[in-house]
Amino acid sequence: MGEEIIRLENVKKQYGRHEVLKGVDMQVNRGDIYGLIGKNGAGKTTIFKMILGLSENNAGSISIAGSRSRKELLKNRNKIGFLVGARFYNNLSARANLKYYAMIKGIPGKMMKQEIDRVLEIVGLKDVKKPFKSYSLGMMQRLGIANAILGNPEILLLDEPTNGLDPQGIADVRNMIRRFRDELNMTVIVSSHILGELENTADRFGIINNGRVVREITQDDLKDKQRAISIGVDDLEKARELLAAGGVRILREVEERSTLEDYYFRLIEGAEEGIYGKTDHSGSEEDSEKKGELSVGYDPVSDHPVLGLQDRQRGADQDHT
Amino acid sequence: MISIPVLLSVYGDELRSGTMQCAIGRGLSRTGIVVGKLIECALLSACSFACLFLFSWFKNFIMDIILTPRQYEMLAVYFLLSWIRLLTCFAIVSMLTLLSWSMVLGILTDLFLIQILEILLKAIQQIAHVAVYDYSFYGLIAGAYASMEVGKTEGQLLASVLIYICGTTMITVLFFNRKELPL
Repeated sequence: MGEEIIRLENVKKQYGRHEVLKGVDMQVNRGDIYGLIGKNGAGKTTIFKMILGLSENNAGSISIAGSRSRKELLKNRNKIGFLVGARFYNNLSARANLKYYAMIKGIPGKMMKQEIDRVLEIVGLKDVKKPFKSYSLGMMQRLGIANAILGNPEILLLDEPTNGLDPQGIADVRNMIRRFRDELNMTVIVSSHILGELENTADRFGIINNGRVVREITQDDLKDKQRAISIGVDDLEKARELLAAGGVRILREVEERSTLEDYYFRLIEGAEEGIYGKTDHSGSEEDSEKKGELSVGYDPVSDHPVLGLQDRQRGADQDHT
Repeated sequence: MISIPVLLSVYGDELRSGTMQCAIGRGLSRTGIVVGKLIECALLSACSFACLFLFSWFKNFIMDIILTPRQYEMLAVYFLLSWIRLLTCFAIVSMLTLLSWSMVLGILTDLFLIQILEILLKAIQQIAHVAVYDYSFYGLIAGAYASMEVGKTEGQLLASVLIYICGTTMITVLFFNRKELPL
């Protein structure tokens, strides 16, 4: 196990009477890519805010790079780079925007140009001269990431960096995250509400549900358990009837999909909604003509197998336990 | 005339662009930010008043208007007290802007403080015979100016104004340290 770089112990956060974090324990080691997985509103962003000092925890302790006092914590926050949404000056180019942030980060004037060139090259925006307002969503996100790695921080916090990106954009971000760790020796904490987005990127996953990190798993654990299978079915209604006759209860219907490679399951009752197992859907051509698909997968939140029934024609899932 | 451009330059971009979160995320203390912003307001407005003072001197020079040294002294005192008055407004506006995270509210408060509140306090004092104006920073500064006009120095009154500035800043620091900022 590597040197511990971030530790949260029994961290609690309450807004009025609403308890968002009910005692989060989390540990990230130097050189980790740590995936923080949970549905929207689970508390991922709140955890990030507390690590960054943008929000105060009501109880518990946070330690960054071994900090033992508040003074050390403040000082060590200097080691963190983070994605600040996509809020830049519309009329300025990527370079001019980064120059502004470089000044805030205290990068010396002599090194500024070199550092900005370096980060723009990493995110592939070095030759882009146009103003920020004409950027695509993917370019905005790249500039946000460039800003996060400006100054070569030791720790990088990326809050849902793939939000709104197309599949190619998502793949690019994943590659960048791996590069940050492998080439720049950064420790990366990245959040997502979809496990599939990070399953091949992160080494460890913290599954956050209902204000707690309910499970920590490694990529190897995940691969061991994710032996999902899919079976094409001709008659979806019949399959539904049979499942019902077998005591399998339909929980609800979901009509959304994120990426082409991820099949969505509504997980078993009481489990995290919005975390999905990836199925092995390399079916035959004959299978691809079937109307629906019955899949068995793994829910990392509950640590239970889950069953999904997907209507290929509608792109919707009916889900069962 | 001076306050809104100063406020916009000090706070406007910061709230929108997330640079303040960036600074806090880099380990800068929130108290440092509050005090730093007030100093920035003070310096920018002092530069503006200095420019106005030089402009009025230059205008007199061009128009061949000759002021006595005493008149120049009082002109300087007027600008100095106006600057202190504006600084007090900035301290109050900073508090509301940072705590509400809204520049619009900050500007509206600034307009209220500069254009309306003084008249309102005077009216209340006239009608209700309660010395709300005299003990407000407007009244204290006006009192200091009136005293200085007749050759007295009014350190005590100005010290009272400083209490307004320091008190407001302390409240801002207290609450801003607990404020949750957007990521």
